[in-house]
Amino acid sequence: MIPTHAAELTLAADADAIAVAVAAVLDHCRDWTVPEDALFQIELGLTEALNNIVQHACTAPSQPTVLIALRYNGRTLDLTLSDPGTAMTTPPAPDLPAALDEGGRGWFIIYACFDEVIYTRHAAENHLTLRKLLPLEAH
Amino acid sequence: MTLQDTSLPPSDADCWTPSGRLVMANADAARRDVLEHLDAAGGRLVLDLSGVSFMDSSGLAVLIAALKAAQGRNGKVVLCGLNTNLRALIELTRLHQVFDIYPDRATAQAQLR
Repeated sequence: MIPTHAAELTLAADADAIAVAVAAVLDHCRDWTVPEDALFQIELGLTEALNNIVQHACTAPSQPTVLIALRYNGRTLDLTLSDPGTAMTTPPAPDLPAALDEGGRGWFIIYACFDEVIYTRHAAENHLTLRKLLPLEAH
Repeated sequence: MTLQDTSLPPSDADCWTPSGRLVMANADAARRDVLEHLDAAGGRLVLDLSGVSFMDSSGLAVLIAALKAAQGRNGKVVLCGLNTNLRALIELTRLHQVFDIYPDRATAQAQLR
């Protein structure tokens, strides 16, 4: 029977906290033997998602906390990011901007790195689940 | 992140050599730094990314800012030294269609002359 692994961590909604949080997520992934060749996409897509939260959702000076809930069952890795910031009114289209536009690539990268991207809002919180389907590992 | 390796010989004044992570937390400073280097290099600059371990879309924005600034003064910006992951990001976002990319600094510098 393949065990299900779970963990939670929190970070301040601050740009400087993102790298530390992402590194902690990757440590869990390695401990749970998530395939090594998936780790870069996890790092990149998660970084972009946290960037968005810090830049757009949690802009108040009070620096709210973001919760990252991880769950891995040997086939599916779910990263659920929860924050109390501004709601996302319309899911952004996963398109690239014009070549020389400096911004606007974050969501395209997120959608490219994960197989499913699920947004919900309840109890005045945003919940963004980034789901990656992985090859079934021998346990 | 270290924005410039000051141990390089003077002849590499046409290179910008960031190191570490090029991400949202340091992108504003990196943008100012690369534009200063571009100006000092007369508008022709190699962005040597061999010391960059990870980059996000904020880092891409820094590269694009440099490219646009160079184009605005009939200059040139080229990239070199991309590791596998940086190369994957550049290709994912189709910026390999926008930037000239070379394997190493010497090859890139030759393109500026």
